[in-house]
Amino acid sequence: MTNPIRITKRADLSRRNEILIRLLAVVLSIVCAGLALMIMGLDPIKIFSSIIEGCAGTELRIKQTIVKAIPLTIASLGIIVAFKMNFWNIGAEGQITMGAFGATLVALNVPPTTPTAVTLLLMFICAVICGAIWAFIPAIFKAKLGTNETIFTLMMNYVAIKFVTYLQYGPWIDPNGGGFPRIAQFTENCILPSVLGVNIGWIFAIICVVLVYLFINHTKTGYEITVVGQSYETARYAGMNISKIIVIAMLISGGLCGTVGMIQASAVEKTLVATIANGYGFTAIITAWLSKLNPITCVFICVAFAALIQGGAYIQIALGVSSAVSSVVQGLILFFVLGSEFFIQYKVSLKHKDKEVA
Amino acid sequence: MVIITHKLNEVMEISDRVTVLRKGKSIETLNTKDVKVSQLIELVVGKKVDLSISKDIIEEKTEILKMDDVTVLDPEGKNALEDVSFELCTHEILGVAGVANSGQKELCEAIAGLIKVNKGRIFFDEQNIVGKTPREIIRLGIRMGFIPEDRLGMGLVASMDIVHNIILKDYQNQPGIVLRRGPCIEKAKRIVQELDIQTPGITTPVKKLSGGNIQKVLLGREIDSSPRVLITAYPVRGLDIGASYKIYDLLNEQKKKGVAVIFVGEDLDVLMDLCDRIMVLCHGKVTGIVDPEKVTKDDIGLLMTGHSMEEIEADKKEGELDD
Amino acid sequence: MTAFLASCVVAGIPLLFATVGELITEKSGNLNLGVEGMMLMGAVMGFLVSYNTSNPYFTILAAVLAGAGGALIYAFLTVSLRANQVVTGLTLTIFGTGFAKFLGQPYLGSAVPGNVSEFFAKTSIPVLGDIPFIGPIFFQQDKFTYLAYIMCAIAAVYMYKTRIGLNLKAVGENTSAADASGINVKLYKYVHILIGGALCGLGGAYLSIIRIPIWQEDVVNGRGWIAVALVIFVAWNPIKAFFGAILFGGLSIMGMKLQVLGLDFSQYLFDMIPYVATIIIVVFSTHKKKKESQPPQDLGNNYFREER
Repeated sequence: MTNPIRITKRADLSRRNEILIRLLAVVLSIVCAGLALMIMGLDPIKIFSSIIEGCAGTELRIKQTIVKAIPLTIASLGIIVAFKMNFWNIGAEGQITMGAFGATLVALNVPPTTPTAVTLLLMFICAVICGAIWAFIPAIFKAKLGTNETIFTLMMNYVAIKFVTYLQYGPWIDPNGGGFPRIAQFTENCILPSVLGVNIGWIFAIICVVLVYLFINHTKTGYEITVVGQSYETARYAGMNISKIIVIAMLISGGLCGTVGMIQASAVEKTLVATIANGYGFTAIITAWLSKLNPITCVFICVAFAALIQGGAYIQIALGVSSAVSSVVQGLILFFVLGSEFFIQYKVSLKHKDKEVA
Repeated sequence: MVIITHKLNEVMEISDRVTVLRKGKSIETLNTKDVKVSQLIELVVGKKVDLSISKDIIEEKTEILKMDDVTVLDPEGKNALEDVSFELCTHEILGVAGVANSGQKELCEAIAGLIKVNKGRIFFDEQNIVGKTPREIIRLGIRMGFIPEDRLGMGLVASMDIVHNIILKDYQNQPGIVLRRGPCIEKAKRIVQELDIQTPGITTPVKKLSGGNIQKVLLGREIDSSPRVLITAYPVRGLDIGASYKIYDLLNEQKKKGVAVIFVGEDLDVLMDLCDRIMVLCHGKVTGIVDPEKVTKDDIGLLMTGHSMEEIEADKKEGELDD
Repeated sequence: MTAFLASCVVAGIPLLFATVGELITEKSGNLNLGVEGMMLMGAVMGFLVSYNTSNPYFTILAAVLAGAGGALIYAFLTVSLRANQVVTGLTLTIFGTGFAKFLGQPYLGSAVPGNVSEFFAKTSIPVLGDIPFIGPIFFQQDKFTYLAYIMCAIAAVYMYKTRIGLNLKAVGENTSAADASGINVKLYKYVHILIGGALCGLGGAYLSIIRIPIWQEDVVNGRGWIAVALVIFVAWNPIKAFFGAILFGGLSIMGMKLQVLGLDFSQYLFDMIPYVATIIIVVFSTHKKKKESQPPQDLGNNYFREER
């Protein structure tokens, strides 16, 4: 063959070099984004410094960043549980939406005099159940019939979003909204309290990180999920009930995403809107993947992404540059990091001609 | 023409010259007619190996497993096993011979409780285990070891280390919801030492080990639970000759301890040398259960292609008459 | 009735482009979930070039290049660098959405130049356009629509009647066997992912140039995902894609049409149908195991020759 490039699998790569390659990828992507901005006639230094300023410049902005990191982290955790099992749950967006629907179902129907703790608990339970049901449907089909979950969960997103849009424009439209298609604002007793100036979701997120970490690494079910993710045959050989494991993992995955819906509806939007998931469900797939399915790493990656999202929102206001710049930068960073995985796993070298003879 | 094989008999029979490769290096190229099998083996393995498979016939046998008229259907609804009946005793190795996919996989999995048995009964110490899941079988106190054909895809989790592969058979007996690694770490260390497994450590993913060492991990785990029945499907497939003989020794050791061993193999010479009895399968049916001392390799070959023992005997008599 | 069916066709054309594009991509064994992103890239570039040059040919070319450009990133990452297909595709959607929003921002609310609209204006095809019933539905459309018909026909012939098309099928069904038989797997994947991206770009441009000739950010509005669904719905068949696209296009305007007739059906419930229908199809196709309605065997698996 004439191909001069030789690709071999790396036997071992030190942890340090691995991190170095990833960092290099991030730096390259930022340079690349900077060049693109320059071509567009914008000052990249100014934009990047504004993004940093926007996500960490003041206490309020840091809080805003954390508010955005909360849904991303919890949704990523949900996805990690599914991905550990090699179950491609692309449906987080829908599960978040349905979680928010569940919370709203309670919020719109409890009397305003109900104690806050009771309403919130009910909302939380209902959100988890709704998110879990939305994950259960593809899971049971996968478990019983082997239905492809990637497409199934993907489609479930839009069923959920269209369903909530229908409610927003139809049956649940706020009668006092002057015909504006929106659902009524939650009453005071349906709103999550703040702790240290940020909604209590951040405490949920930390608890979830610890719980998911322990679940995956230190429980029998967590171990079973990992084995199923590696090989159905091995799981069968070990006498595992694969269907049951798939369903349990997805109930947890969907339940976590449902929690996100609850937090977003109750603490951020304070009502239900069709765009409640706001793309977090998709971004979380990427953050989960980048964290190598490690719940602890995932926190840092999610905070970094939240910072980008928050920074993008800021430059829209501060510089009048479209917030979409942050999506573009996000996309570029992801492309580079995804590409860098290759160089972590494989060694690329030039072939020596003399070895070709044998 | 180039033929690449690990079966030395094939090399001796059909090749003119032979090149021995070991660890990516070409060791030596020889004319086949100038070389003996034992020399070749030495070149392949890199050191002298004992090439005899010992067979001690142990008289004190008791029946432990009995298959009675078992039929298993494949996913397409055809018979993968058809009316299979046989008994298995302690202190014996029962060989299973047959052309590939003659029902060997289904036979093993039916005993292990991994597939649905459509008809018939399987007795383990007089207890019918048909319809029971592997977990229920374990709960009955039946200790069984199973070395499946696909080691990395079925018997082990390729990306996990030795400890976590040992846990695979252990965790279900642990109480509560917490996974306990401690006892398995000890067990892993012991198995590595006892079977002389070459590995950088017990936390190395098993897929990074050589084929022989991978098989030792699997076999080590299975015999560590001191099984009473040990099912092995092609346990030496893909292994070099040194590792293969190590496995045969281990199986013989188990047999001496009183374990009833099922050995599904493809090399008839090995089957003849190792096994006390050989059951031959053809298209899911048993065409004969024979004593290797009393039949020839050709007889087994005929059984594998669907002839019955009676036919073979008759043919032989006819041949004698012709003479 | 004819008017309604004609508008179903109009609604279906962007889906048709994207569906055939994704279908060709998937036939090469790659699941590209970046359809929405590539459509947006095509839409914005088509619009920008159209706005600034007033040249319809450049408009088409820009849309093709933008879609293929997005696909090139995807192809390089998944084929050459072996990145995960699902994650890369989703990233492409995030990137494409940002790209379109960012580039399009200064043009929000601007209209497509008159001469470009005129160029693509509705024209009746002689003879065919005069066929009763069929003519007004299919052959009194804009020129961009005719481009879609031609593209769809070429795709069908290409996939089923040419040597390359059959090889493509082999690549998607069993990549390692195709490689062993001497097919240049990487080249096939690259070419077809790029063609797929180009068609998605055209689908996007149809939306921003013909359907809604005033630039708005959410011009694609989830149609990329419907296209992903349609590929399954039509069982990877470009001919069926034609009818499937019109059907799903029809569903997307059904509620509005019924409201005009005084029937109060929420459009959003109709919007759910394509997704629900696709889920049902996915469930049944895995259950029935009918050969031709199955996805390519190696769909979604990256191919590494060394690990064969």
